[in-house]
Amino acid sequence: MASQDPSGAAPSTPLTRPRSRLWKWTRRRPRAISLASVALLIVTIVLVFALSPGAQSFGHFFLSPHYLRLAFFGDESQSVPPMWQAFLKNVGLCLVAEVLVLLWALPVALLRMSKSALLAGPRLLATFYVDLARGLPLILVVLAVYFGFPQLEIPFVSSRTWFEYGLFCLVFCYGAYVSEVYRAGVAAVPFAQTLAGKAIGLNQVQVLRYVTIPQALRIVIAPLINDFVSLQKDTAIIGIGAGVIEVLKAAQINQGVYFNDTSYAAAGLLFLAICVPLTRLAEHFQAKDQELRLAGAIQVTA
Amino acid sequence: MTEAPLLRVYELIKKFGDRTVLNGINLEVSSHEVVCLIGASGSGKSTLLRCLNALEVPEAGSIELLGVDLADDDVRGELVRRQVGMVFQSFNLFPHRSVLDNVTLGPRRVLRHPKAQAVTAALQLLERFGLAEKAKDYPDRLSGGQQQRVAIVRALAMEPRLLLLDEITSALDPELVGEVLDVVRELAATGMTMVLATHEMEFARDVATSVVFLAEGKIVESGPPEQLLHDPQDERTKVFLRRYLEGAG
Repeated sequence: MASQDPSGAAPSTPLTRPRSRLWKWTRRRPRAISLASVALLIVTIVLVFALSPGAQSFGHFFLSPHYLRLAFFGDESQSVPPMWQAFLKNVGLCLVAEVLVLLWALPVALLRMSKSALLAGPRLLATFYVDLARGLPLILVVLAVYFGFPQLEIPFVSSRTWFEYGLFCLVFCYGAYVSEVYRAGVAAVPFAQTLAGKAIGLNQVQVLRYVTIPQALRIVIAPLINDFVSLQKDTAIIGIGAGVIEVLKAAQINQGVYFNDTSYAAAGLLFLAICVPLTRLAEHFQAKDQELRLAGAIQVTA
Repeated sequence: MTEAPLLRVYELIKKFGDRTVLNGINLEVSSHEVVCLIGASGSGKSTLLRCLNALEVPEAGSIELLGVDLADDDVRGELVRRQVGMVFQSFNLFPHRSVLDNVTLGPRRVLRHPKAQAVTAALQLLERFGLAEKAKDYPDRLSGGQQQRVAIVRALAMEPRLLLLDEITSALDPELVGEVLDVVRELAATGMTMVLATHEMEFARDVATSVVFLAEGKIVESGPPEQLLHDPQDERTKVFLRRYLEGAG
């Protein structure tokens, strides 16, 4: 082309386009601007609540400090259970369930990953189970177990406590999710690692134990914490079918006695107190994993 | 009476789906021999190597290793690979284990050597290849050349009867190729039996007892390095080698 100038000043798009004043200002004072941004958000939220027509009754029914205290610590004279105590049942249920979920999901995942013709039957069963457990809402499982199992009149199965039924439901549902997390974690380890393990004479089980699983663990820790958070929240559903006073049930009793909904806010606060830090922790692990990836500590290439 | 070859490959055929990757390979490797496989990408070099340590199962033909037919039902891949080491193009060190733990994993878990014994032997090997001070480091702290040397040491720690090297310098920066090839030269000098796929013709001429040229899953030509590299008979070999010489400039 004739217009090409060999001296280097070839016609091209300009390197500059004016930026807005706001952009320059933000760039100069990032701290002040981010503070202002957060303040604006808080003020807006407070104003929306404070200026709403029903602000006063909302405050009374949902955010009353008086009823909040009654909700947390209970009231013996009215036989209102203290919610912190009820919440301990949720915590206990979730901790025991989590341990069982982590254990139970392992054979399910291994079975789903197996290739042996001998295991075709169990593998099909495992696939069916995972589809079923992931497809059914927990609340349906709870209702089916609480009302269904006793009716079966099978000696051991039909006479369990609410706690054991609750455990079963949570492990049933979350075991399927966690088995998929395990499977995804193992799949995320490059196949070249499996080859390298085999090449030094490790058998299939040894490759999993010494090569694949240790690397998969770092990948799955964040999704596992996420599932744990969900499980912790879902303990609230267990109270529905059972005569047990876990935190949601306690909140309902409280609400029924005082005709005040602050107890639900109290339940919410209790869950948040556990779930928010856990979510942060998961994000921390995720960020660390990302960091390692960028640093090249985890080989991404096959 | 001549000694039976360590490895005898007969009419080997390997397919991936409809694609025939190896199409009737015949090859014999005796103890202390170094066989270099050359050929364009996709000619079947890697697949052949992977068949030799039972990472791939061929469709037809036979592989006889140490007098045993690998197609036999009682042959276990992991038992084959105890005796046949392999080093990969992309190193494939275990990123979650230190250099020392990479090297001792096989001896400890496969050969069931006590930890102290495995560590002593590993340190000796690392020392021999100038890697002793890297023993505690993780693979990501090492250069590509160091990683590949560790990978070789990891294979050697199993004291293999046969070592397979799959284009082990292809993923390296040019200035790091030499240190890795030196290791292989030393192994050749000590009598290690090796089959290696390579694009380094100079190197092949130095270390090989025979060079095999593969194209489209077949052995086109094979022979002593001087003869095959300088006086190839087949037209395809000539074209291939000419391209390499031009590439080398």
